[in-house]
Amino acid sequence: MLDILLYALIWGFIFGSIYLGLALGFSIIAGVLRVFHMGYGLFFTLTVYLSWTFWKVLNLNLWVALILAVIFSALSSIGLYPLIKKFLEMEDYLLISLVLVFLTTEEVINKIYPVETGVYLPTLLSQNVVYIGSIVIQMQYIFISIVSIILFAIYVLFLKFSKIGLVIRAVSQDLNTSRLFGINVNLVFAFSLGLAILAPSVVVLLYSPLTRIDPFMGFPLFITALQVAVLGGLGNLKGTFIAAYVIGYIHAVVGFLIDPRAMNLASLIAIIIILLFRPRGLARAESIW
Amino acid sequence: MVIRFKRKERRGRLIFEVYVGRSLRRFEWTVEPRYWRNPTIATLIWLLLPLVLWFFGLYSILTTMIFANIIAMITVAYSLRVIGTGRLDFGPTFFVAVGGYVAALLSKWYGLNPVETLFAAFVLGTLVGLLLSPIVVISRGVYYTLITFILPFVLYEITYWRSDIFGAETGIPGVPPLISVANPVQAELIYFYISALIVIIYIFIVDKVLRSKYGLMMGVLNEDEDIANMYGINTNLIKVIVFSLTSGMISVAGWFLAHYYMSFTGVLYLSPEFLTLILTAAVLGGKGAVYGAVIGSYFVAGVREFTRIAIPEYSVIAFLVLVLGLLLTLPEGLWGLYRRRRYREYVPTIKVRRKT
Repeated sequence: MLDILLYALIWGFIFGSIYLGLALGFSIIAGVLRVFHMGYGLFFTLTVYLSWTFWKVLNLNLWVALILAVIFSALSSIGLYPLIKKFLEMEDYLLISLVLVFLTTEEVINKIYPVETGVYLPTLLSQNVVYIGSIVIQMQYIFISIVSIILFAIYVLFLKFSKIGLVIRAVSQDLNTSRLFGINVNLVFAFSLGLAILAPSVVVLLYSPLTRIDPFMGFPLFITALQVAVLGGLGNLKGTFIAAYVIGYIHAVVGFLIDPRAMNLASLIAIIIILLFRPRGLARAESIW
Repeated sequence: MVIRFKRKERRGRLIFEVYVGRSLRRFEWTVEPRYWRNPTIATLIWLLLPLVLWFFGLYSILTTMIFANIIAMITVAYSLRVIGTGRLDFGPTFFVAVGGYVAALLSKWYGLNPVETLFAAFVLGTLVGLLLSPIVVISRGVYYTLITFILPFVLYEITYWRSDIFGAETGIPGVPPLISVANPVQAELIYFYISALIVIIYIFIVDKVLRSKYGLMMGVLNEDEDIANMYGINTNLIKVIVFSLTSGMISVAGWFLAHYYMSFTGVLYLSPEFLTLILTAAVLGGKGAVYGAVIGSYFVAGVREFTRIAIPEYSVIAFLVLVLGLLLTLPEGLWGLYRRRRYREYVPTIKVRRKT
């Protein structure tokens, strides 16, 4: 029994940290633009397949390919801004059109690199394993957890203490007042779209050796990010932090005690119950922090 | 019970007054012929076209029309749901799967016939909707949309988790057909008319609801929920009732799919691709427009089939790109185009509320 508890405790932390990294971008976009990026999941797939393209097709050095893929993903996120701007006041059209963009990109990637291509990325930082009591954990999981937390801290520090961060927070708090102060809101929106994609792209690149890579890999990751963001209170990073670990621990407990396939069902039930008491999530989405 | 027909002085209105004991219920229908002309012509063409196709041996178009009818069943009910809850919903495919699994499992386990499974699919779909209805009350604005987006994915996972029950990708085979006709072409014709009948019943019900005082309440709820509450409208009650009943209505589409294909593979209908078909049919038809939902369904099913024939290699991409292009260029949908040309304000316009 103690072993199971220890399993749940450690894996809850690992899952929570990975989810934090995956959901970070979605929360930033929701917090700054006040839109819900239903195409967010496509950037997970895009980053991995762009890395493969730069590395294997264009024969670039692996690490150069990874950096270029992250930059290109961020730029393509900025490239979606005209679509978002067009439907900024029509939320339903925005959500549907972003889902369509997501599915179209997946299908295009599937045409270029079908599953049989066997895309993989050797981004394992270490082949070693760690023993904690009777539990064996691959080092890569520890690395991803640490990287996720560091990235989260960098984003928080950037938003709290840099001048650009101040501008982003101002836009997230009051759009019209920001305009009155001469802030170029469009520029901030576009910049935030790009900035938001950087961290999840890095996390997914590190996570890719531990998961199945296929053109439709973005959807389940997106669902996880969505659950974290909804539970946390859309657009609030404090809430995202707490929610990531809440969902991480729910998944760990249910995954080890019941069945891994029941993890999402359990977290959905938990989200509904928590929203009963806190209809706007764990943290009210008044501002990004 | 005494039913009295009464022709009032107001032109073009047929009024039924129904006395039950001492209480009076009043029903009104607009019978102005010019209001009926276009819908009658459209319905006649719609119902006679399959016979023409059958005569000329164009059976594949008939199959596409049946699929369009299935999409229309979902989108008509979905339109009422969007209007009645005042929110965009990304979870209709969840209830399609619920209806399909109920029909397939009850046929397989207890040998129920299609009529019995129809009843069971509707009732259980409604009950599942009622069970999930708290989310429509508690979750504000887009939280609701995002939670409903997660619902089909959760059921998708469950179908793999309990693949011994749901069959995962294999599905549940051996569901009895709705009708036992030896000639497959005649069977297709009958399936078309059964599906068309369900669509007509749905349109009738939804149209009546929207023209009733409850439709007006939904209109207010759509515009501003706070104002609706201030007027004394029990918005939560309306949302729960609409959510539950439309869940049952959408489940019937799942029931039809199970008996039509004689097997049910839920994962096909829980996929984001199937959700896209429904959302685009509803939006391209004209968001919240009941007749537009049927037009949108036929348009989407037709374009999907056309791209499959014209460019089979890239059909999915072509379909998605085309739909996205139309979404960008036609914000009012196809019904909106018609309304712009022939504008008549029969009933108060109901818009989907932007405020969340």
